[in-house]
Amino acid sequence: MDGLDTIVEMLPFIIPLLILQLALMIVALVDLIKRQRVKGDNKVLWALLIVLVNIIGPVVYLIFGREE
Amino acid sequence: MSGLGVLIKKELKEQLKTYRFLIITTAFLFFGLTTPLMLKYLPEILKMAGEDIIIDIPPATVVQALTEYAGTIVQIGVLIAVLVTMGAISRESEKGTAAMVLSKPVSRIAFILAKLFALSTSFVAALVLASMACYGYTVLLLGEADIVAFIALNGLLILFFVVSISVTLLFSSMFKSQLAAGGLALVVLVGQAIMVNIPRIGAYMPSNLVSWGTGLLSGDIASAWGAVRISLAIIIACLYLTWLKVRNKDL
Repeated sequence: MDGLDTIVEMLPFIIPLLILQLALMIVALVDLIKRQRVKGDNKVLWALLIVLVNIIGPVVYLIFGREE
Repeated sequence: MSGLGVLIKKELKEQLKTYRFLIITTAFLFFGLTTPLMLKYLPEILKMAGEDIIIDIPPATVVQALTEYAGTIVQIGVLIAVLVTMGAISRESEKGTAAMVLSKPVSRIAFILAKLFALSTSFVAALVLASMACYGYTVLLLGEADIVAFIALNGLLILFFVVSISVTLLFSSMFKSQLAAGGLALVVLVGQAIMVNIPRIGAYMPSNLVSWGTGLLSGDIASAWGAVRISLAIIIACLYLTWLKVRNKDL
């Protein structure tokens, strides 16, 4: 099987994963935008972390970044 | 145990509001989906990456996929259990919300039980979703798997997670600092996992539940009821000690 075939075969299995990552990212970003204060007072840095680091970025923000 | 129902409802809502349920579910689902996927396609991905190198990896098996999934979920699960539980009592006490809740006609044991119940519920729901996804992917990609053994494995994993939550809850009641509570809980939980290798004592460690569960997948019938009993004893002991701590505390 060559490379392209493998990717085409994998695709339907990868889509749910992408949706999962995207959903988590959106939830974290929406929370970030709505929140008045975040840890470290730097929303841009948090946004970068959420967008650039898959799964772990949003999780780290949701656990540590939010300030009530 | 007055107010338990109301408190459980409040804590369950809190699980959603503080994103705890979302965090646990996403993390578990991620590994549930990627484990069988990686095992199936890793040899081909490697082949695509380096054309000249011949890597001989035997084809992945169903048992391998489910066993690896359980191993990863336990490691990630313990870490998440500690992270989402370490502030459960210490942070509420610090913020003053614990005092607010306890000024209502609710008992302190109900306060603790509601927390344990809500956190455990999040873990159970996340594990069920992730395991269903992992099982589905495994069957589709690698072939038929023993569903009964897999369900039994999940039952044992749940017990293991409740132990992790109870231990962290206890430390959360003992320390003002969340990090101290989390750090110590992690030391205890990792410590018992290392002790599994010690002959005789190892069989009674909660981590042995996981070994029993994964053994079931490959048809190993050696049971570990000792570990089940010790795990239940640890949960009850932690709840009791947490109650003693919270009872005498000015929250």
